[in-house]
Amino acid sequence: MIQRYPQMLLRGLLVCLLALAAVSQAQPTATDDTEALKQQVLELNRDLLILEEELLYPANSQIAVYLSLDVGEYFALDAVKVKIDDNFVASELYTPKQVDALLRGGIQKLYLGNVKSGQHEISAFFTGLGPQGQPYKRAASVTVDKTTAPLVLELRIVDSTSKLQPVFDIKQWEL
Amino acid sequence: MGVITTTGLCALLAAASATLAAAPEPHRAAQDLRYGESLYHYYTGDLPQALSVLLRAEHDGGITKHQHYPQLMRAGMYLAYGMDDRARAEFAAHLGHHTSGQDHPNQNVPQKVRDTAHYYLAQLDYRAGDYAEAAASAVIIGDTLSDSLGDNLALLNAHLLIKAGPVPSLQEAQTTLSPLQQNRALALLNLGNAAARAGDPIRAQHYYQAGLATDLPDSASGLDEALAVRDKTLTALGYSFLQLGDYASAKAAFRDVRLDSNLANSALLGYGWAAASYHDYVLALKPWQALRNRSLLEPAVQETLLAVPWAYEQLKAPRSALIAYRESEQLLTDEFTRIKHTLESLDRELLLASLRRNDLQGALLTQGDGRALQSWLTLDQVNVLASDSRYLQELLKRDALQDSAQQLRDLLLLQDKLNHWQVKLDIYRQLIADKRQLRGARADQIEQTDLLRQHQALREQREQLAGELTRIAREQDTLALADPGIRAQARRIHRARTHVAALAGNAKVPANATERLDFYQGLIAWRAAQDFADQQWRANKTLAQLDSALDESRTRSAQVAKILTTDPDLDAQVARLTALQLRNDAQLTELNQAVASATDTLLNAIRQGLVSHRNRLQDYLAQVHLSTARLFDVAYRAADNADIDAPKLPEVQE
Repeated sequence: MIQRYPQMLLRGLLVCLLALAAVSQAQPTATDDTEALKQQVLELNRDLLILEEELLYPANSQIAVYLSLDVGEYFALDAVKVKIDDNFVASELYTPKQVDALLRGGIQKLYLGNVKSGQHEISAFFTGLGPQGQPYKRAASVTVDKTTAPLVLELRIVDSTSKLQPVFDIKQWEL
Repeated sequence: MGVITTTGLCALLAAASATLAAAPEPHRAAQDLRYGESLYHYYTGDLPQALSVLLRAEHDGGITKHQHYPQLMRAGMYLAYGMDDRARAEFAAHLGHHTSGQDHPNQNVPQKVRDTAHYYLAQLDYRAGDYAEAAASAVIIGDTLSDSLGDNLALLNAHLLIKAGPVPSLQEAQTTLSPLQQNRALALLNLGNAAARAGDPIRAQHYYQAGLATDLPDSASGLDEALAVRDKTLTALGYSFLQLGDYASAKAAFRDVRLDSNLANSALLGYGWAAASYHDYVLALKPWQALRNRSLLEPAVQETLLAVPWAYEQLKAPRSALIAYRESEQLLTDEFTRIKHTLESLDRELLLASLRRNDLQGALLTQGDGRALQSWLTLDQVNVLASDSRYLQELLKRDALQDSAQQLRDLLLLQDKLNHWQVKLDIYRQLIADKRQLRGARADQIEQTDLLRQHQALREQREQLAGELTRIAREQDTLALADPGIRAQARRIHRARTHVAALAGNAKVPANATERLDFYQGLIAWRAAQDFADQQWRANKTLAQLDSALDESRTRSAQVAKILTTDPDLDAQVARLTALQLRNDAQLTELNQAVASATDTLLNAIRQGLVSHRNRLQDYLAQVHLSTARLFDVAYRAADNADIDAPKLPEVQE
């Protein structure tokens, strides 16, 4: 019998140590050229976003609707629909990743569009699971006066510890 | 060398997450929506968009209502996006350090922000291999860091301890280890590995054992990472026991490694060796046989090509050993075919498609619980894509290629963005042209209806109204502003007076008719006078509103007239669009070149990796051939009762 075990063990240990060493390999840093290129493209993307907004959503007709979430105990968000006057303009079904982003402080730009000057009724419909894990639907609405300044609204879902249920409201931002 | 994390691939992201974790909870009192919007993009994995939102906010005057956190967040995002130099510049700026070399320490920056910036600069220095500078930054950090960042700092100090060398004993390292919380097990693992590499397995074991004694986190968030560290520690401990000849302890350590972990292959191999060490080859064969079905890209799997037949030989079953060698030969042949096919088919298109597919699958898998993958629509797409180059996908996951692959993915994502803009900009150009055309049509319509001069006629009507109001005020004509009912009554009294005058002398006319009409007239005049001041105020208010409306109308008419004659906004938009289109084209050209260059670099690295892999396997094949020949030689030398006909082992009996 040929005893090759020690030789194999040595090889195995080497494999193991290499694997462990690989854990502590440093990540090479990006090259300067790539960094500069990334920066330039990001700045270009920013400028293009500004132009796009000015072209498609000029300030005198712009309306933006954001969504923020500060719940955890009384409401699990599934979907949101937004209605301006009699038209549904935005709807979103939320993935766990999106909900997580909202729970961690992210604010989603849900809708960007145009409305004429004057009064408008903005309504939002929220669907999800309520305090006892039961299906839960609520709505909030607000009447706003669109002027020549951009109209910015934030749909807010907040846990109310006093009412033991979620609270839905719409905040108008003064820019 | 040096970033040491549980999953090196996530190191950058984890670092940036910690930066963001250091920020306050903005949603409880969001002072700037752009701050929250950027966070949303960041947490949903769209780093370029998150950075673009922050850059835009900076362009519009900056986010001033969240103190220094937006800037810290941006620097953290640069770090996560592989833009180390930019991140370094931003962190340094918080401290008043400038790239020009002139430092102007900013004492207005809160200590917490300064500590955070110092921490990340230390991390960047460490990654760049400048351990002295990293240590210098780390030592001046105060105690204001958040818990998670403080824990990361303690981990960095442990790594700096390793780099300073030699590896201290567990007791000597206590000062460094005591502040560690969540990262304690990871620090102990890395210290143990350093001791093992330095040839001190006993010291290494002390660290490993201490790491295993660390409690797992209660929350689910850090559990996966903690379990991965535990698997690595157990595997390292197992090999350390093997090295010291303590096979039973080695087996026990390997047995506790989760089979679905990344280190299961090394643990399975080690478990087999531990069993083989005290001659339990039947037990050794179980993990080794299981390993043989896995990818030969894994060194542990390659090892089983020889280990399995070797175990059969130890069991004095040369027939089974021969079969195993032939299986190994077949496995190697199949792998050579795969390597050859991959080398032949590997080109830019295949690689880029493979990287983009990875993103697609990643995107689908990260969409919630992966239900999207079960949709027949997406399933078909993913399966078709996944079937043709799974081997290449596996290669791209290798540590050595990960960074280059990620860089290329970043560039591809930016390339996609600019390509989309190129299409959109063409559409916007057409949109402006349509707008100009529509405006021309409206101008004609306005000209025909004389719309812009209608406010002149309205102004004249207004002047008449104002004159009438002046007369009413001067003459105190209370009835002129009385409500319609009173005015109707006044008209009726007036008619009655006319009739009374016409019927003067008629006996049927009451004698006191005139007196009564005078009385009624007085009553109505009194009532009208009661409301006069209020009605006059209302009339003047309406006149003021009319003035305002007319002024606005005049201004708008002037604006419309100006726009119609000069088109200033459209011309400005066209100019900006043209400039941005040129920038986009130039940037896209540069980006395409960078993508091509990065693709070639990655292609070469993959080819070199494949060639090295093939060379390594050829060594295994040579050993398989030699062993096979040796077995045949033994069989031929046995004249009458060749071992080839020996009974099969229980495990391989069919």
